[in-house]
Amino acid sequence: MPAKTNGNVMSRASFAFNLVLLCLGLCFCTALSLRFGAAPVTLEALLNDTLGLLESRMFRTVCAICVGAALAISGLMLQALTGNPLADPGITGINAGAALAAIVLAYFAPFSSGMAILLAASLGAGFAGYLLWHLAGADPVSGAGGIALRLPLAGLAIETLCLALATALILTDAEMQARYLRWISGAIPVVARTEIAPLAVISVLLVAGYFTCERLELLSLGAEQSASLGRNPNRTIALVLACVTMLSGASVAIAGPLAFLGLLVPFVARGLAAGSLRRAYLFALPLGASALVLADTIGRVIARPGEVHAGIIASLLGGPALIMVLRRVLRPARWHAA
Amino acid sequence: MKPVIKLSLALGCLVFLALSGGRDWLVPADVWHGLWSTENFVIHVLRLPRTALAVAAGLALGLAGALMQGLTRNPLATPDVIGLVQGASLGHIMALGLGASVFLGETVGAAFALFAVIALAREQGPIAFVLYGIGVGATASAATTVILLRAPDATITQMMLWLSGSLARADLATAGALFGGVVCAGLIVLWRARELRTLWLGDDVMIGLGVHLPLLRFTVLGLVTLLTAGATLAVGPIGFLAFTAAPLARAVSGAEPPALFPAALMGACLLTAADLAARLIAPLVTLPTGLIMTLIGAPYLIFFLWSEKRKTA
Amino acid sequence: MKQPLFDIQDLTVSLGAQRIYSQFSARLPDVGITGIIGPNGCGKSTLLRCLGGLATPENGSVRLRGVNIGQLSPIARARQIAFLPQEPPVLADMTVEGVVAKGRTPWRKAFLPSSRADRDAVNQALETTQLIELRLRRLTALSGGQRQRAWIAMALAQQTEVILLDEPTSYLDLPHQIRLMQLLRHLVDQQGQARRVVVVLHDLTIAARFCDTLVGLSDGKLVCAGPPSEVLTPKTVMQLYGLRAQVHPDPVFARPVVYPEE
Repeated sequence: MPAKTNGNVMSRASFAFNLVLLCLGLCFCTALSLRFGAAPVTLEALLNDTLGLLESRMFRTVCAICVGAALAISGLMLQALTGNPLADPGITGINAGAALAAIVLAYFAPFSSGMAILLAASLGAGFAGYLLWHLAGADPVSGAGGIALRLPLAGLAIETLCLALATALILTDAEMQARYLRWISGAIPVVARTEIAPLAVISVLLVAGYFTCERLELLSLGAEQSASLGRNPNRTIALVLACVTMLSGASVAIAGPLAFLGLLVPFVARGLAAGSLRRAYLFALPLGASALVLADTIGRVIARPGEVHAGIIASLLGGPALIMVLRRVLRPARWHAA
Repeated sequence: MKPVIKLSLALGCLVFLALSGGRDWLVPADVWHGLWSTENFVIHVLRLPRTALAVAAGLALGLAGALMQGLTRNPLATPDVIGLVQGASLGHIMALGLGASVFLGETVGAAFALFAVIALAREQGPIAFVLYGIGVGATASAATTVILLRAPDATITQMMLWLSGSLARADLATAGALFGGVVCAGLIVLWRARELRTLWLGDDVMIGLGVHLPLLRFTVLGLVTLLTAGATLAVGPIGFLAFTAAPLARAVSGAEPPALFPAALMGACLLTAADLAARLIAPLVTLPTGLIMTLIGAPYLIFFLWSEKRKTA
Repeated sequence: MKQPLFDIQDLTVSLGAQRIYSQFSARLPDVGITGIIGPNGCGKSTLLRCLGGLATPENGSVRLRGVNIGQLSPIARARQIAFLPQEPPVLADMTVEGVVAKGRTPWRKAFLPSSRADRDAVNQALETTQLIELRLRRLTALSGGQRQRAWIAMALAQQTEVILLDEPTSYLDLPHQIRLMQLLRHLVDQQGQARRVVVVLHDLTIAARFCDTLVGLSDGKLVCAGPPSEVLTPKTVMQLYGLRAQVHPDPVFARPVVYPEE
């Protein structure tokens, strides 16, 4: 990455090259996901599709692509909004809040439509975000080097609480166990039930989100600066938060609360984009999608004939990712202190 | 001595409740008779082992939490928050795979997690310490999952129950062994009470009072590691117990920091209550005690952060 | 000359990569209150920490009445020297009496509850610092001056001959500063007790008024040592702080006061 070493803005050509490379990577991961699964099938049998395997794998892959991209983007936007590289919809508890709301809805109204689940999940995400803001928001002093370390801590508290409540609700009811025990650990669905509406919402939001990047970049200069350049900062915050909660709600409605993906992918994407949020956005889309598709594929392959949920595979990277980002974030602070 | 007596009485009441409560409630007389006749199935097979284990593990974790908080002067730095419990679980699974002693595996795992956190978080502030701990804990539990995936099915089912922090498989022998360990730890605490009373005062004041700091650190960290390993071995990774016990004990009984014994007693109270709640809420399905403990502990963490924020504002 | 209270020889100390003292030698005379003065970062606190055995010197020795502090066990040292850092932690839930009782640490025995002597020492310390009525108050509910007195009471309960204080007046307003210094004076002048106080001070007027000896440090070097009236001169102020100043005795106590000319 020459762009990083000399500190200049990356040239248009190398940006395009990187983007194409990432898209090719996504294509490769998609192909892997279609080819390999829990059942070892020859290529010929798969293409003839006598078992209906290809169709279910395609649906599954589409879900993984959308959810992965959604998580990466909501992480990226949250991080840009809070100026905190530790903000991720999983760690901040926003996904867990969405999951709790979805479970509560499922408990009281077992056969809700996909849209209803999505709205409930978004509401839950919004509520968790609101709680988080009250616990850790507007607190620039406590962290090292301007990074509020309270944010992830408060988020983890909310996440743990919401997930425990959701798990308790699931465990008390046998039917809920059958329907949601797989979902709560973050699994990509196999057959379409209620996922079509959330998938559509994600696709729309992913496109719409790109146009908030400019506003977000202005906001990162400070609220006053943003206002003086003609962008109402409050409207930016409202837009971004709406986008993040809807993305989080939709991704949770499809695949349950997945953590850490929104931490790691934006971290890599911003490293590649060398300062430009819009480029980071474009990088994060294929990166997030590939990551989740790959996690899902690995989960299907490593424990044949059983299956490990993508959420568990993703969380394998979670702990090391958290440590790595923390080290990155805290190291300059240590130099300042010394 | 007063807070200790108060909390001991509370624990006694809770134990009695835990023995009489469950799917069928027993009248006090039945509980009393059941305790002395070994044929009583409900008391001797179902409830006594669970309750005894809850008390022993609660004592161990409460004491470990209070020790760790006092040494680091950080109310967030307890074995369950900073990844010691998860490290112990990893050690447990690895020891099972290698055919080594499980307790040894747990101790090594917990010690390893502790050193990893200390090495990572050198002089970066209390919250960074905790976040690194959370990262180490997440790493350890992910590694546990990976190892578990390769285990035979029977082991997986058994371990999943254990990993969720369940007291369903309690037996009196484990409870007795853990109790013995806790008593030994208590004696060590009494022996070093002189130095341990100065926890929370900070390094400078402690040295000024004649505390041999390296020795004290070693003692405390060793005790914490062993207690965490023992408790995790017995009841699985139970979160938030060590974290809530000490501050709750201080708030309820008015004990002054470090409040080691009150914290231990409060830990036992909490775990006994959580286990009773788990049995009462869902008598038919096995609701893990660890889950109930999280439902108690996570709101406390939120409350803690909220009140900290109000203090700084 | 009498045997000095502290005899420092060839002291070499580093904090991290920074060398604070190199081959530093000094003698602190055996008088009531010794004040250590000097500009910020000159090593006042480090010297005090060496006297209290908190910092381990790389080389050299610190002797208390001829006994090498580095060779004492922590408990034996804590029975002779009490140390209070500049900012002792503020603890929630801790009462005044609880904090003062911690001062008995070097005298407590394993497995035994606090003895009669312990309780007497705590009571006496509370009485001397006039905290008897506040003994059950939480530390967080006290004013800054009261809290500082509580910490001093802890050091008193330690029943040591020497008490080391690191800038005890820095967060107090003027009346509380004066009261605190009067308390220290009272501790030293009490009949039948040969107590010694070594204190790091910022305020030269206060230091000159209450101390029996002043030790001036600058950049890890000893600039001056002796009674305030001899030590505080325009020349030493220049050496210590790089400040042109006149020094005149004040009209009330006839103690030297520094009047900066810049």
